Amino acid sequence: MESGILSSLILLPLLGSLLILILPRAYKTFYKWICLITQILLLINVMTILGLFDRENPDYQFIEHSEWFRLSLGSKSILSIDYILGVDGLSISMVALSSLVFLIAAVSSFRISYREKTYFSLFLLLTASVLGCFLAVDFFLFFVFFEFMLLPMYFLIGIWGGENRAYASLKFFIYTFSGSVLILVVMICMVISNQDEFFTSEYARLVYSFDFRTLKDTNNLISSSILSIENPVLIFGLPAREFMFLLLLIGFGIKMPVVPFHTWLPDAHVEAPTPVSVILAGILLKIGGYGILRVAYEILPDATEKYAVLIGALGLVSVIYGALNALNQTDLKKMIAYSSVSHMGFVFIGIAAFNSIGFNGAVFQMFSHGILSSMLFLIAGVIYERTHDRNISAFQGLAKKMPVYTLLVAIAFFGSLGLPSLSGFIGEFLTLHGAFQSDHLPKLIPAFGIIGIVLSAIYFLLTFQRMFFGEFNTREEYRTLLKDLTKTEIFMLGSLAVLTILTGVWPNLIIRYINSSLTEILK
Amino acid sequence: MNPESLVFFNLQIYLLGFIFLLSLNNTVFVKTTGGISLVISILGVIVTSSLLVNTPGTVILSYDWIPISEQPVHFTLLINAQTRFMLFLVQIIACFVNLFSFKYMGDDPGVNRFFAYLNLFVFSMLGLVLAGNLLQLYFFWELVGFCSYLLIGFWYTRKTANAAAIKAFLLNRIGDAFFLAGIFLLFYLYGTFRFDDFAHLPLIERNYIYLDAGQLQTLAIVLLFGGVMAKSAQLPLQVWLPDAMEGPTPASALIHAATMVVAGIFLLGRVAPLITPDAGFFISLTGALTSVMAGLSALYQNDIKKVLAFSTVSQLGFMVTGMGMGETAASLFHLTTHAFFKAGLFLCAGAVISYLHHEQDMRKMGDLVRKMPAVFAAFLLCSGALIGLPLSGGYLSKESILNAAWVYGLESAGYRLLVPVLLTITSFLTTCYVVRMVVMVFFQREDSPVEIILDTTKKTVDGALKTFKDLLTADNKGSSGEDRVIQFIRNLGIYDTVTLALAFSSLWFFYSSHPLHPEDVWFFNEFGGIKEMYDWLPWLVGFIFLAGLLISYNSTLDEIRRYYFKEPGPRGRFARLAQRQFYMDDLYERLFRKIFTGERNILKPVSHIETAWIDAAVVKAGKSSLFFAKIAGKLEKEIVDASVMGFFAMIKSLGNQIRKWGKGNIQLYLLGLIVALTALVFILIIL
Repeated sequence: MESGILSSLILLPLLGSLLILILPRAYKTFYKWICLITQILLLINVMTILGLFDRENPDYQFIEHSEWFRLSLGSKSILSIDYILGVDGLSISMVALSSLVFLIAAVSSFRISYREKTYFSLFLLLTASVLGCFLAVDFFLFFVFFEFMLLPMYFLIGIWGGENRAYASLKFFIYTFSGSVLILVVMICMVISNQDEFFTSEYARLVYSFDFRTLKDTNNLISSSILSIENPVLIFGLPAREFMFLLLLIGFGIKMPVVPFHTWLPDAHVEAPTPVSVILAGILLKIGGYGILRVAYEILPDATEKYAVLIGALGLVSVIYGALNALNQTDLKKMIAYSSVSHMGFVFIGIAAFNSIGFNGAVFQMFSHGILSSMLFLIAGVIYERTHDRNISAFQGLAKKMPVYTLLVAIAFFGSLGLPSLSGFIGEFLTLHGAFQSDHLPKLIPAFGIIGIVLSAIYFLLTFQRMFFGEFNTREEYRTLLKDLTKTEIFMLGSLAVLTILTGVWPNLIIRYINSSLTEILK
Repeated sequence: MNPESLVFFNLQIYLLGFIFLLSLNNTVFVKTTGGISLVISILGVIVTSSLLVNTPGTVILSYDWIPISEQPVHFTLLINAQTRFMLFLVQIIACFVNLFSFKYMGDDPGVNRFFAYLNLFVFSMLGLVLAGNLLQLYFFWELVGFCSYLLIGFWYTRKTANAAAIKAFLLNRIGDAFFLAGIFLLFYLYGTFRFDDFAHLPLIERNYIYLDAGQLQTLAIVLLFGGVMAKSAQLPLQVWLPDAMEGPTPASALIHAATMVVAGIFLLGRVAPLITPDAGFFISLTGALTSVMAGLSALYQNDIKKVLAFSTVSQLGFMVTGMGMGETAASLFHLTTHAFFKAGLFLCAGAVISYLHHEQDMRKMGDLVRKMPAVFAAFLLCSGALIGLPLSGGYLSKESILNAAWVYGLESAGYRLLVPVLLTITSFLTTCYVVRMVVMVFFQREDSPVEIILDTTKKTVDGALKTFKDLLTADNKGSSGEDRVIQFIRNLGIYDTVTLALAFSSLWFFYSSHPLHPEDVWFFNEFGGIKEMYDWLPWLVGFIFLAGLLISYNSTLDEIRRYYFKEPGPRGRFARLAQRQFYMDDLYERLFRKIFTGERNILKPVSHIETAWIDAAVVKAGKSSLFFAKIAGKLEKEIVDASVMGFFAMIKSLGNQIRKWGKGNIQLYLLGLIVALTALVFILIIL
């Protein structure tokens, strides 16, 4: 069934972006509406896909396959690069999350007041590349979208960011770009080690395919190639498969980010404007976890499982180290950024379990963190837009003045610190549970992971108490500026809050989509 | 209706009540919230009663919740004997507390929040009680903790309230961390979370390292008990409960005395078949030690709510000990009687505090026996139950735990004997602090400070008092005795009614047909009986009571006298030590400070690592790329460029050379031209 609905997810934002570019500046009030309507259409399409999606089927669905280009490498072999889109349980959860977060970010972007044309066209470009990245079934296509994401992101931080934006955007770019170089190396090695059997017989030449489905099938492995299992090639004393895995781990680890490759995150977050922070934390970080599952584990399962302890330990270090750093911050946005590091650590712990509880937990944690961190950055944005101050100590007793805001902050904070009935708990519980029941990990990793839960309670509660409780007390000039939420803000935060509660009370809502695919991946 | 819909209806009304009441924030309907909440709680009691009548035996309801393919976790509701009595207990006490708060909190501007939180709490507590597996229990366990956090910090502008709320939440979080680890370990051992599976499923056969399966099970129970330590305020995590008294008194009565804090006992009851003898001894010893320590602390408190809080900790120690000894029935029975009389005591204290305009210092009270006779009567009955006087429910329940403890201790003499000895000491201490409290709060004093505190008196109480006096003096002028009784009842305020009702509920007849024999208690029919009864125990307890009464009465009078004449008392270091919980509280606070905010805290090295190592390394890497760029630049300049330039220079010098030739020698040019032409022609011909 070639319905083209997946292509529409990529084409719609591209068309929107083009429309904004064509439309003269005189109509600049329309830009944000074009952006918003595109996002709404995307959400409708995603909802349709969710409705038609067969939850029991673990394979790719809605596949769209067409030839992109064939590169002849001499007379013996052909490089076949295809345009293949498809969704399985893993990617559909991420697509749904992206579409939601982009919609919220589009609403939040209404405040952008200069260079709207560039902003909104870049925004839609980013949407297209993120969705493309999750939808791609072809490694080359994945990589193109993955790389392309950096470009709009770089400009979005670099032009609309805070004072130190140039430094932050450059740091972001260099970090993630060096990560992608590693992934590129792995991609090339993977492709030249696999042959597409079907095409090989058709063309009577060796066909190198970028299709994920071809790459993950070990029958296609060329026995003399660099990645072969029987005759391992040693690189720096490591078998090539393991070496490739380590490169991927660093490449996606930077994106995730996992300690010690995380220092771009606080800077980028602090400087980025609110909607960009929301996208960065809500979606872009998830590509790291997605990549580990989709590329590293699916294609190199043996090497990945061998390094379970390393992945788990990295996750654990991120959890504890991120939490301690968050405790140390006085800047609200920085605190939230470090809490992101801490929460994404749970994803690694869940992946390291290599059982279906851990995998489900990891993907659930990504989804939940996507919602919660979006809420947290919107919350920081609310305060910053009113006072241009993000210091935690600058505010006190906001509860009396801003009751609705306080309620929503409470939901976000308690959700992040893992209060049951909000989504954060389920993610943390499942990842730790999976890690504890796993045969690959020492029990110490989940046991210390539990400390992370205690630490996150400390920093979120202390921040909540300092900012919201006590008598209302801020600087004189802030008193009139601090008003309760506007209707738009209530819409943005409220809809995310409803999602956290829904998924927290009834995790089945997500797990029934992802479970069968993740179980299949494990086989 | 079938049990399923009844249970869900029961849960839903509280949850919807929470949402509805919270949505009334800042509207004109704020004042009505108490009434709405009261209706909800009465409805809840009715529904529960019908559930209790309609569902005998064990009912298990199960739904898809986390459908992970290998080991799905279901949302399971387990309704058995233990669930049923707790369901009723929680809601009936919630109903009383609701009625009480209707008046007590009526004038507070945030009253709707209070009632909303109360409803959320009841919902979560019911969820906890109904939970059919450990994960679900943990889920609601944290939620009740969250409600407790909200209610302790209810007056959020107060600094002390916030500090107490955070302390409660964090200590509970630490306990929960152990609890969670225990859950994981139990799952590792049994492959299930469900309570009904634990009893009959065998341990999974595996190669366990370090410890064998039995030891691991002991470890798991001890870890679970970590959660109980926090929630049910056992050593060493008990310090949050006395501070939790910062919350409104009715909330303290419901949450920090009657229901939430006993969740730990409830959990131990659920996993009772798994408790190994070693873990059991650890649990019962912890409980016994806690009860003695809290009893000592209660003896030296001056704040009436603090006394009650420590007494709660002490009684929780009793129940935990019972659970550790494997006496589920006795423990749950004490839980029930304790819920009634402690809630009664707290509400009496609330009435007193409200009557005295928020004065909580017992030394400044006194003489209230004539001012609040109804409350006094209720307080006396509840105190009797707390001490364990005959004819009260407390007598039956306490007796059965003490008896079980002596059986436990004497069965295998040795270190186990410590448990009953400690519990007996606690019962002596209980008598002492209860007598002290009653004397201080209610008994007549020569110089009554109450008059000074009061400027107005509450009308209902006063009216009731007047009628009561008339009734007693049998002054029959004008109207008949029946009218007077009616009038008395009419004049009874909400406080009096509620406290009296709770006091009557703590009498024996709700629990047993015989006031003195614990064998007849219906709990023991339901959960299994008592092994053996010692005849000498009631005599021992009676002796302890009399001794405590005498000693405490005299010393309390002495203490009050000293307080009035501002004499320095002979209070030693021990008293100070006991009053401040043996400095455990300060120790924790200092520890927390030292770790997170002090001079040499743990965060400094972390931030050092972050900036000086990781970030610096990144910057260095960036700089080093600059270094490579410089090398590349040098290479470019000195080799590539130089070679190009050299080539260029060569051509130039060649040109110069050639230029030298061009000096206007036309003949030579012509010659060259002709030679070249002929050569070309030759070549063409040859080819």
